[in-house]
Amino acid sequence: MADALARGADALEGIKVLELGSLVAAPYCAKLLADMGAEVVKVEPPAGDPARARGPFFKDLPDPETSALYLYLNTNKRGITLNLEVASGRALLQELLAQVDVFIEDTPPGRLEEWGLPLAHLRQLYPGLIVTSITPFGRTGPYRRYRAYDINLFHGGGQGFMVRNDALGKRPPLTGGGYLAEFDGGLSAAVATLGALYHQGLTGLGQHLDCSIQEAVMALERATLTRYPNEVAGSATTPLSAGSRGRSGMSGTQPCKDGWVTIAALEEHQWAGLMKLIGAPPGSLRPTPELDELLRAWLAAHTMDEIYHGAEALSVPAGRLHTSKDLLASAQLQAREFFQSIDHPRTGALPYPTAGYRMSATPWRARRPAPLLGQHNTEVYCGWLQRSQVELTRLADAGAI
Amino acid sequence: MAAAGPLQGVRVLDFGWAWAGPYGCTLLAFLGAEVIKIEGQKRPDYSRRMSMTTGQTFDNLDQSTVFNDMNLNKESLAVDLSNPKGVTMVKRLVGLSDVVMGNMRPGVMDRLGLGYDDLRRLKPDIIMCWSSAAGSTGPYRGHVGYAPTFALLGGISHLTRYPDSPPTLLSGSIDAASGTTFALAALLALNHRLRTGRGQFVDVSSTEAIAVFSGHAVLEYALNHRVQGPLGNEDEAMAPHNVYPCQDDDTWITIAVATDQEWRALVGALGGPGWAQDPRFAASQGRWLHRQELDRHLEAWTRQRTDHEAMALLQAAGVAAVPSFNNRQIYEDPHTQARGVFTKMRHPAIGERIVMRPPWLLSDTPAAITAPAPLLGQHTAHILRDLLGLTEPAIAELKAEGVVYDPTPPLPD
Repeated sequence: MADALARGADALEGIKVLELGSLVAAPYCAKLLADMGAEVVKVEPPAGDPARARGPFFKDLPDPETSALYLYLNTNKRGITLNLEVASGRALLQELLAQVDVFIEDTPPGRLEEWGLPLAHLRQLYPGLIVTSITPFGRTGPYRRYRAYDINLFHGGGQGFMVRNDALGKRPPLTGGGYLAEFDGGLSAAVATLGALYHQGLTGLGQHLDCSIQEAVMALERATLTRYPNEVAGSATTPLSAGSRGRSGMSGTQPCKDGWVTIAALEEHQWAGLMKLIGAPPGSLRPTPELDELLRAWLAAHTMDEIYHGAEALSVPAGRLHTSKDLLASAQLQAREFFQSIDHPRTGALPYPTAGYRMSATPWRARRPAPLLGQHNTEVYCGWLQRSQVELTRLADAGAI
Repeated sequence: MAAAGPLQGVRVLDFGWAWAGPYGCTLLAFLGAEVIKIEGQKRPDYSRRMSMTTGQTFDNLDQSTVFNDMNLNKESLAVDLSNPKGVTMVKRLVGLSDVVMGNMRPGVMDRLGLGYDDLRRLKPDIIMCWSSAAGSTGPYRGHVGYAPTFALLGGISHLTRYPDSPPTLLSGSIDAASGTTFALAALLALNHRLRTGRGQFVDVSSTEAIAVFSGHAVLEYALNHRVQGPLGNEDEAMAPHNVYPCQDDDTWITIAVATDQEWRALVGALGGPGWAQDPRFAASQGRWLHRQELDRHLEAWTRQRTDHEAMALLQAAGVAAVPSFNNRQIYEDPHTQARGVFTKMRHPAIGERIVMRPPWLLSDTPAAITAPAPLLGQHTAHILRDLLGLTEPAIAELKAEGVVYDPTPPLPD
């Protein structure tokens, strides 16, 4: 344990971050830094991050301290309240910015200027500061002030149309589940932020990052989205949606005895393995309607686990459906300690997903649960900003925090 | 040359394959890192031959447009890793590099004598960042997978479906999201090394890179022992919240309303119709309970308008409304055009291509596309001569022995 707490045990030890974020994208970006040891202070309006009002809630009772969404996205952070609608609150924000390396913010373009804190001014005051702006459509362009929630951004980034595969026919384009566009927006912004942080570590210089969630969603489909201008612009007018998936009848998810599986036998040796698995006649070198029929019948006679393990034993890429409950029960995720228990004063201990990576020298660590609303006001305002308790009370009375 | 990205001076060796590995390295290359792709002629990156996501196949290893999109800004060293002299060349390069990345099955690099323990003997502060389907530990560590298997195993497929439809697999985005996580992990290690001088091994699981997107659903199960079900285009609390048909065939607009203020803005934008005064729609809970009726009213309105008309009217009132863009619309859209999302570049074997720029605008150290994806072996001679200091006769000997390769001469027009 002493070793784990030694200096340098956290990848981002000593990095200070101020987050002014709501719902998913910006808080997730900041969480990715907090999880690796950055000291993140989350700034919430006195009414709290709107994620606190989103469920699901503990025992289904609406409570700003037990929103699963909020708890997940804000672990390992400290939290303060600050009212930026009043001048004294905005002055405090500026003082806080003097303390940090990174400012992650999701205010609509123009808001910082209205508050008298234009970016150019902030950068002049704090040349080492990295400002990561995460907005639906970026800070320039005709849609820069447009509002958007997750559903709007997933479709606005062109992915909704692609998810509608053959199985969905003419039904409306479909939304990626569970805030996927916002998660991708936060993840993408974290990559840029860490790039800028590396440069800041070398040179001492900060900069501004304009991160558009729409572009983050689009970037993941760069190979498909660019097919239109490269292949059909000027000639055919039919827009291409997503392409086919693998060989013949194995595209998409397939029903089996107790659920759903997918098999992606893309390469020849994988195809051969699949044919062996289902007992296809020798010489079954490529898909035919008869082989598709044989495959369907074989899948219908086997369980998800039988198919998954049978295929993987022959190096055939396969997947089985995992719900949230199945994820928690996965032998692989358990063996890798993917879930770690974090205690919280209102919900008790819960298993939280950690990260998609294991770092040998700087492992993921649970430091603290998501903050209660304003939990660290004293620690931050009296510690970072050297305010006395009396001054803190005065600020609270004036509605600044 | 324009100002370079923030990772200028960082050298990455990319043993990536398909999408998740190569795309992670491409993101570092967008940020200015020098990325050298290490490939063999015997088993080149399969994106050079085909793409599962787009359904395309390519006749020539240098003409894959998909490989180009996923490997921009890199150099290519073509080397036979089954030849010990090839491994020796790579080891010398490791000594000159900062990060070694890849996503071949766990164990492959160890068998080549290029495992993390080997690499750190060559360079004590090396960062090795390795991605695989299930990670390099645990009972399923040797498993293989692609984007569709990560989507299903990672839990996102269950959440991305209509309640009465099969789980969907999303698309190549799942691989690219795993690749983005891969880049993030490498950057975390680089930042750590910058302040401590220490390298490390980073083990990325593509399945886990997707499973983190279900965090709130996992917590809901832990809190309430309830499996969050698929919602289609609906939301657990917001209404309206759906994808509505517009005037032209197969055009759609997404509309989402969270607050009473947004609801009033929507009603105003619709011209204050009588149905909207129904007291059942006055509060968010009532709107959600009667969301199907609400959707029918909204649909009657959206069907009378194009998707862009609906977006402009609703956004002017402060309502979150955006079309479900298809490929053509998103390319022709005035916003993506104004932000320069699509740019032109020339690839030596493919010709002029439109590619998508990096998804961030950095004010002082711009991320940029500076080169097309490399031809297989395009930079072999340059790397051996200028990085490893080999003489021309030595390079010629290695080529003659089949240890390294130049690019295949381009096809005649």
